[in-house]
Amino acid sequence: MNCFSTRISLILVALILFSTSVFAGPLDDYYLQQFDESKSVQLQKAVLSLPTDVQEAARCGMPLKHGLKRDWKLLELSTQKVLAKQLALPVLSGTEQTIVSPSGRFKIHYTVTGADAVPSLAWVQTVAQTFDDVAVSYIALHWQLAPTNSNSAYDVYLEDLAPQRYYGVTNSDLAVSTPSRQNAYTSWIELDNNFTDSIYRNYTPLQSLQITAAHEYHHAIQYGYSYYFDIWYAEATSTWMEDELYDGVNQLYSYIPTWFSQSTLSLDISESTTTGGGYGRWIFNRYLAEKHTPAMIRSAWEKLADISSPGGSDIPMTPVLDSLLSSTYATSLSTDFMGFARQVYMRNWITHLAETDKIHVYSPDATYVSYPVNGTVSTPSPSVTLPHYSFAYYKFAPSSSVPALTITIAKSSGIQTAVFRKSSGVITEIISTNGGNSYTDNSFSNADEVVLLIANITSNYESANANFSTDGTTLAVTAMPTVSGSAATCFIATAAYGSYLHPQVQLLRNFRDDYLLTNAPGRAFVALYYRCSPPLADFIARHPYLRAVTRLALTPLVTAIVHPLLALFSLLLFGCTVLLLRLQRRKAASLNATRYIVRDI
Amino acid sequence: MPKGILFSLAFLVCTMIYSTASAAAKRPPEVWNYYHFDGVAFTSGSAVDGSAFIAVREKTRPVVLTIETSPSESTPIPEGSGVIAGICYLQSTGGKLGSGSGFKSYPRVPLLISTAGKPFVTVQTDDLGYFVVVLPAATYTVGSGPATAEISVEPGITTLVPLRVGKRMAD
Repeated sequence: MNCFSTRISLILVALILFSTSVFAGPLDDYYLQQFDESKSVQLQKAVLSLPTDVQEAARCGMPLKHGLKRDWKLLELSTQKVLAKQLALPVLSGTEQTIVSPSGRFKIHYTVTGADAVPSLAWVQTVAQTFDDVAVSYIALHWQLAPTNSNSAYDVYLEDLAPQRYYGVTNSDLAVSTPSRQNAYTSWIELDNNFTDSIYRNYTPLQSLQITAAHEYHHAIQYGYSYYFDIWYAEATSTWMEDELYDGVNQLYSYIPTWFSQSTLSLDISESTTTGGGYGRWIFNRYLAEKHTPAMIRSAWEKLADISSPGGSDIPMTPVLDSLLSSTYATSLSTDFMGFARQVYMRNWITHLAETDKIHVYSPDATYVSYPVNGTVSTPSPSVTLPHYSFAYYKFAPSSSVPALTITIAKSSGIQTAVFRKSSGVITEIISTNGGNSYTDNSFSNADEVVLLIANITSNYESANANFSTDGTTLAVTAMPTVSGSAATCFIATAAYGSYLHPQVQLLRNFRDDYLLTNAPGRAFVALYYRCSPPLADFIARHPYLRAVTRLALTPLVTAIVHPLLALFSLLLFGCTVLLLRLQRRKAASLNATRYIVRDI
Repeated sequence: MPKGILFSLAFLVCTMIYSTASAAAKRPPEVWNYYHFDGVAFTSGSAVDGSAFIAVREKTRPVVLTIETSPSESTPIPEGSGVIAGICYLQSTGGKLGSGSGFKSYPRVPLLISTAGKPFVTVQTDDLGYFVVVLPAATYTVGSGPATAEISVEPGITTLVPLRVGKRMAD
């Protein structure tokens, strides 16, 4: 009975301890709601089902908007102001006037009073002529011009956009599906009324007008190819077109440094001038255009136009580019991305030669001046983990004590490398040995620099990694496969705790990043986990009791991570208790056996 | 004491503790939960910028609010019905000089809801661009034309739907 009581007590204590985690459901909701961060547990179905259930863009506003446009002139000015604000139609600060461009293709809406007032009628005419010039240029480059509602003139509104810090805005309007353009939409453009505000100071008003017209009207063209374009590539293409149409303005070069200094971010990250996303990626289009002709970029948009939207969401552009390059240009996005990464260092551009100096030079992630370089003594550590379509450069400064340099690399799937030697300003690529894992420069001390390029050239591995040394020592590497949806998520834990942002899930993620991904067995385990867990996690997420059970099951792991010493102590205590019980049992059995022997005697 | 009784006793104790813990983990049904639209999806909590959000409660019709408070009116959902609630919005992205990313709601627009290929009901978004509709359990198509949302309505469940009605490239 004593033995039974001890066991029951142990079970009770363990259950009470473990059950506390079950209370985390409402508690984490409370905190996450306080910090306005997370999705809730209770209505998980409602939230989790959104990305797949919602197809898109039900054009729910369009019938009314269409009617409003039709009856616009019949409304009172005060009514127009209220309705136009609500329906996102521009309301100019004074009476709206219009002129049609000389070609008849564009209708420019403007006012001469209030904040939106244009400087002069001549300026409006300049705007109209600029849009005509832009359209002619796009026709010459064989782009299909933007569709319009009922084949009327394309609407351009001149407004004071400086307070919003915009040059221009292109808005989607109505679906105008045709057999060859099933996802085509019309659009309209808003443009700053004068480009004289200080925020546009680096360029003349005419220059700002020119590049903005080229940029925004290309967005209008993009809506005509497919409404479901991938936004990063839309910005990359519109920005690239600025220089194709107005080569002398060169604002676009200012977006490159933020990409090259953060080249470990993926090619297709969201548009942002602080990361180089979207806008800065225009230079990749120049590389493709130089290698395959500018028509290749147009072909990519034509290919996009033939693709149906996946469930109503935007169509990812990197597979479209890869498909086009493979089918038409006998190459691949992987090959061309590696070629581009090489070009970043080699700088052998063949067009716009007068502007080559404006292209930002490569930015090494680390420069090594003392040798050997290895994972033990070097700072920063000679290793990198790269997401899909990203790259990193490492510079080795010559040293008189190192006459020859051998770089040994361990790289996971998805990684490709190249090593360059610059001497007297001349760049040569060093041929690899040892199956592409070793590069040797026999006259390193005489070089200007030696540079190592490491690139993840695939979309298959979200966390490809590589490490290198100059003394032959390397660490094991494992690539983590790309997982659709939220990459690098603890699926089961997220399902069990109800939110990716739950503190316990964050804890497990940190443990994965800090302890598992830093060694080969850990990375292998994580890779296996990411292959197997998504369907299991989906099943758990849909069953509340399973989520509670999973939280219970995860509690010892979470506790061990938070209190490793306590966990170790508990484990030792548990081990000792079991050992003690076994010893007692053996002793009792031995005594019984002795009794039997005594009795027999 | 016989082993069978001891085992049953242990099982009973374990079951009681687990059941109590599980029951305690369930959110009280009378609590309203708030969801706001962050430009991509509905996220728990009210909007920090004072914009509208949806209050959701089990088996009760959701309510669109602008101030975090328990709705004074509580309309129960009929037995066997569920709710589709959501927002019609314009997606805004880009920005050469600053971030132009965000969204703009679309007020007073009609939304056709059909099921099995036949129109079922037309609702209209409110002044804040939100809509709430109680429907018998079934699969519905929200919106019309090439862009639609397929929603499966389950009894007592509220499904939150953001409907993108346009893209705005701001530079």
